Amino acid sequence: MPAAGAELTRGAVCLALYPFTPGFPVEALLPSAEIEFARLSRYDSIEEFQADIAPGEVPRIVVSVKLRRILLLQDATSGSRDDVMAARINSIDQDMPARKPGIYRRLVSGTHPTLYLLGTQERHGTSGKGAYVNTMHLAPVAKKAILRRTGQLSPDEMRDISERIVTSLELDISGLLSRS
Amino acid sequence: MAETVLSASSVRIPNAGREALARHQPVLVQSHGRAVLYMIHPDDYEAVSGLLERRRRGHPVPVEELLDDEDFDLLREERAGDQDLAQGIVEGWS
Repeated sequence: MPAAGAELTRGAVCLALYPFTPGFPVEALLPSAEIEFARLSRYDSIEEFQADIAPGEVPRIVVSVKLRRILLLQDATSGSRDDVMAARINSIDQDMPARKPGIYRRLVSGTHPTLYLLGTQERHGTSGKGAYVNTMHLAPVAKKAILRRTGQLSPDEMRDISERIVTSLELDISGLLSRS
Repeated sequence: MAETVLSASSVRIPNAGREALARHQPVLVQSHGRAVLYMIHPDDYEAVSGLLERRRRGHPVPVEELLDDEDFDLLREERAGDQDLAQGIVEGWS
């Protein structure tokens, strides 16, 4: 049962079925399709390539999905779109302070350029456990795959995360700044 | 970038901070657990001032220049944690 549309606000922390991983489907598909992709050099367009593939040759992939915590980066309360952009939220392992002291220190001090610490407030919706928003992993998520809202970040927190997204995506906002 | 210059006589830096700066180690000043000030050696500042200026003006900076080995390790570990998803089952083209 998907979460109610009214809950899908910008800054909502949600549980979602999140099928995307950067390595998928490339790592699964490429080894078995080297010959087919080698044929790409003979075609000028994707359409020509697809027209030359017999129907039985088209690969079908069985996808497994993970229930993940995500952060909604856009307001998705209206019914006008089926997808919403989201950032992945990862849990902080107990041994992270010892294993990744530099990252942990920057997370806690709020100075990491691409990661943002969650779990310090109940409204973060992480059940009181440490977690971080990773702005290096952004993806559209189907609204139907969002099952439950567990938290809500404040406008100030979303502003901090927006700054990290500018950094992660290497956005040029010089025009915006010069006009302000 | 226009800098605000203060006289050394108007700033009190504990000896531990001065010694760290002399070794080219950054000094972090915190308030309530949050970073409020970083001090670095002037030579180190010159090495990164161009990058800081680009960011201040809103120009893009390659994100990899802002990450370190721990960050890249973390990204690799996250990816490895999704290995079961990345495997999938391919039917066809095989």
